[in-house]
Amino acid sequence: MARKEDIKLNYLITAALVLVTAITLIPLFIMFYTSIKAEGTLTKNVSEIVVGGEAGHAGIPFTVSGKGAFIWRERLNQDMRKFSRLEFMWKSAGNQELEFGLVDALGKSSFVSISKYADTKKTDWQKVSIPVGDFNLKGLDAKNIEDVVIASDAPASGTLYLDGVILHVKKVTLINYVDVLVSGPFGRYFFNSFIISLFITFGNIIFCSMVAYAFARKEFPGKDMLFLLIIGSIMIPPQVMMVPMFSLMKNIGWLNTYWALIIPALTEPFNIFLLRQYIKTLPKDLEEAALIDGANEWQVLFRVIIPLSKPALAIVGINTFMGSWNTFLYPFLLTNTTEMRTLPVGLALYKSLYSVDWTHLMAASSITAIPVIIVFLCFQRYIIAGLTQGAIKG
Amino acid sequence: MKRLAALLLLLLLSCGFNTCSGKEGKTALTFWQLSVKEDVMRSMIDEFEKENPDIKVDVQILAWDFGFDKIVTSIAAGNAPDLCELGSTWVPTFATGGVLADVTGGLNGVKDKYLFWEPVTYQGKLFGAPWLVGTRALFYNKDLFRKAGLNPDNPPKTWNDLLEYSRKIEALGGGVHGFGIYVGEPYTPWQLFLPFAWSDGAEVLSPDFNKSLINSPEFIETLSFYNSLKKYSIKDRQAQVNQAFAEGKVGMQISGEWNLMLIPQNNPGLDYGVAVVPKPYLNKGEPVSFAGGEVLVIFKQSKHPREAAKLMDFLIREDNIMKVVKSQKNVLPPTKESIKDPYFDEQPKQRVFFEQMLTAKPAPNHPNWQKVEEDLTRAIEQVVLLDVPPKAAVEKAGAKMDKVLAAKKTKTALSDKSVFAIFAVIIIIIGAAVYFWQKMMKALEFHGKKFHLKNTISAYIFISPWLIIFAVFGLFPLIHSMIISFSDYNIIESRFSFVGLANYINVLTDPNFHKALWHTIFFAAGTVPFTTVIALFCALLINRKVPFKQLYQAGLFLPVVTSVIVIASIFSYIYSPDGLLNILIDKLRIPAGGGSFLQLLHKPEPSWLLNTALALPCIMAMCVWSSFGYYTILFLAGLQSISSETYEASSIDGATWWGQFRYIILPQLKPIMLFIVVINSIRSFQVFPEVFAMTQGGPLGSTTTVVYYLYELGFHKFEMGAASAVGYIVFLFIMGFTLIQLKIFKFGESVG
Repeated sequence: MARKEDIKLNYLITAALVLVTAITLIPLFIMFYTSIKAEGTLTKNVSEIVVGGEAGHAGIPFTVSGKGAFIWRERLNQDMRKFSRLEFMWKSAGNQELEFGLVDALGKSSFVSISKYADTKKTDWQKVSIPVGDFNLKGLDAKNIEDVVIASDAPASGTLYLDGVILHVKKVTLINYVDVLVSGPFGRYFFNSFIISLFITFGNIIFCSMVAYAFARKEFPGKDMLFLLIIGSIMIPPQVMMVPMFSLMKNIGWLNTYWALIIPALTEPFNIFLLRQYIKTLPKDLEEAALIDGANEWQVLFRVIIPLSKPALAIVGINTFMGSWNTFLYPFLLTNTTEMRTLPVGLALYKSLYSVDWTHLMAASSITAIPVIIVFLCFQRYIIAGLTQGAIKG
Repeated sequence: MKRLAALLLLLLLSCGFNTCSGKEGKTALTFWQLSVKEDVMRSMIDEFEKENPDIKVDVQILAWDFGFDKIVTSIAAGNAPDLCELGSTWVPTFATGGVLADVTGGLNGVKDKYLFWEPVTYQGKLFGAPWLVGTRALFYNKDLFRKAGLNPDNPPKTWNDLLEYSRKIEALGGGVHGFGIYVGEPYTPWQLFLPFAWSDGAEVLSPDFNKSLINSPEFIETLSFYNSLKKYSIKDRQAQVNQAFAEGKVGMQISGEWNLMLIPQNNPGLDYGVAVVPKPYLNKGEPVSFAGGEVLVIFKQSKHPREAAKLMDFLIREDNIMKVVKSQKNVLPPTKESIKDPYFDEQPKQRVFFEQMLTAKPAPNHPNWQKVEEDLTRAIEQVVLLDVPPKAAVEKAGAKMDKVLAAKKTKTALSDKSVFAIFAVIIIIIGAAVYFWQKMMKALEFHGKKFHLKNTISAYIFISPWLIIFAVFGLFPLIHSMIISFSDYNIIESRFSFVGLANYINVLTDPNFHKALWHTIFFAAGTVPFTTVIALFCALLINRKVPFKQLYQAGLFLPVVTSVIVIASIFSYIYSPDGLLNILIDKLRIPAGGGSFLQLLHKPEPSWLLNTALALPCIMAMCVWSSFGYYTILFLAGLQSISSETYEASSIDGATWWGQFRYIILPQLKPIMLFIVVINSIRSFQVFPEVFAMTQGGPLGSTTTVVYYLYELGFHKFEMGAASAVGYIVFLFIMGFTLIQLKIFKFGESVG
């Protein structure tokens, strides 16, 4: 009986957890989704752009007549990489060889012949769809296409009608990522962030374990006062320390160096506090056994405490890596050259004063988030695996 | 290959660990700017360096977030750049501080050709050069005009037109509004309102800056007009109104050039026009708009003022400014002749902005404008949001402004009365400290333990990494900031004088601080218990034998990875007038007639984040939501130290679920629980980025927390001394709170 209820309960719990997980993942999902949109914002999608004439209003046609290089021209001012297809309604007088073209800001152009996409003999309205990929955009500045034009080599006879000229926006695109990655020395930013985060993370795992072990297991004068100091140092709002920290770094000549960003962060009070609390929950039997076997304190720390603290150390690792990877304020304050920028500092330039370029900003945010997610996925198995896998038996 | 890689790595590293500088006998100039994109700026600088081969320019683009704070911090540390971009409203503040170099001489030649000299002029001298300017014009939605039976080619010319058109468009219904009024943030409410007042001949301050003039009949008339306009308007923050206009839900808005780019991004099909702003009457007044802009300044700290001036002259050359204008399309040139540029013929909408700029006015260049604008915004918000009669609102705000304007003169040394007050406070603080010390020692007491020297030394070796780093990078800044907190320290002026406890007294007696403190306590009390309980509950669920554990673990944790601005934007959308929350309320409400308690659900007016009672709880809900997963993971880690044998033993003993939780899990989790409660409380007391991203302390200061208050005081009003004092008051407050928590958890006793 009890078992059956248990199974039912487990189903319920699984369902609840899936729901909660789904809800908490929404922002991450929106972030990634926006980053692959060609056009739009966090909440808006744009699927098409009307260039000329309203679709479905066949009553307002464009009259095209005469001859010449550009017999019809419409202003676009668009980044053509965003679009999949150029679509329009077309009504010709029959047998006209016309070319559709795109012209960039410098006047360079690329043409395709309409006969490939439409039945030129038909004199009724017909829908024409030209894939943007068919235009040869290699020689053009695809980011700044100014006009869409119709050209004809031979004199065109009769009147032509054109209506509902629409550019279809690509559903999925990586151009935001491309734009972000070519906009600055992102390799350098990435490298800086990586070096800094790596040093800080490993430094914290080793140093904070040492400090926390002493606070959890040893008795020494001044212990509680010092521990309060550790907690106390996180209680002062960081905004107060900005100016003093800056002048300190300036006076010791560390402005614009890695030192300024790494050294002060090597023993985060948060991590010491967490590890100290965690070590407190560990049973003492194993340590005592090791000491009786003749191990010294360092061996106890590295052979017993650290392996037993894997769940907490995994959190310290994730937390520290994430913190130092995402940190913005101090790298921004303390560095002055492009070479020293970290990823968040480089990416913050994507926000302007009044308007936010969401698709690019989200691509930039995704680029920052991905390494953190990878680190999380690497560390996370230690959080649950922990003791249940049997370091402690009795 | 490996060697090469190692060498490269070494090279890269050595550059980062030593200050890398390539001096070749050239004058190295530093130039900080925010507005121009990197590639455009780089190409201009390359040209400059070609023209001036003896100068090397190091350009830094600052991010808008905290870019200003970086400039301020650098000035304070004597490390300011040579040439710098500055928002025009800051010039008087910096000029009075004496940090800007007088550039009058160099600019005489171009004075007649440029606009926008007023903001850079202070006491008859020029402290900067106009660079890029912007103004506000009227945007109107032609489709909505047609639907409302208005002529889409005839935008409103007078206030009456504006009111009438707004009424007609509002009457269309379906969530469509006539006009957009900005509230709920510090700057935009007055930037939209003042042009109306100016058009009517009203002023905020008297020409000599001695008195506020906002209780003039013209000012009250304008505010009354605003009051009647609000009935047909969406009331929201500027970004939200811009967004609503782009989506075709607002008939008219008065806003800046950036909309010309925002609209195509959101809704490329929108048929809209741009016109100059309406004036009070057809035959009276002028259509005055607000002019803001970016100027270039040279700091006195600069070692190369002459070269910096050369770069400034180069950058404000008409052709260079037009390069920026053409590539960014969201700024205007301050050069009068530029209207002839064919570019403006091609861009008729930008041309309207240019025409509007000829009659635009900047904010009054009072050095304490940052304080004056606060009262101005508050008066406007009171009328718009709280229906305070215009007359009452301006009277109150006027009195406050007069106080700010007079403040400069009455700043003297300590009076006898205050010395007495200082003594009282010192005694109270010492008393409190002794009390807490005793309490704490009792809570942490060791009962006659003996320390062995050898053990002590080894313990200190173990904690030495922290001890050394803290001694250098913790203690020094700590003492420095403590000294600042006892001084009158204006970080711009670098004026530094010891004032004893005056900062602490001023802060503790400031009603705004009391409010901020109350908001913070409310915030902590509301979020910490919720977060802890939800996190514990989720951790217990995940810790059972359920499938896909790692999936939930990752899912709950990952919101922490997402940046605050993404989360804040999503929640802003949820809380917006036609956002998810209101849609949900509409869905839940049973159609009229059905008697349900759900009918009591009201959609707040004007919207969630602009309701003074609901804004803070809204931010709290967001914080709980975005952080509980993180604490779940911490609990989960804590739960791992309970071995499965313990569980098995207890279930054999027939312990109930509750019994297991109460007597096995809870005691085991105590250390981790303590950690979570303490850390979460500290974070709640220091809440800042969420407020910064969501509401900037508004509406009407209802979401100003202590740290936000501190930030404004230190970095916008430049009273770093007072700001540091706030920091230490916050510190004492958190410390007291933490000690209570430690006591509740019986910290000193060995646990587990």
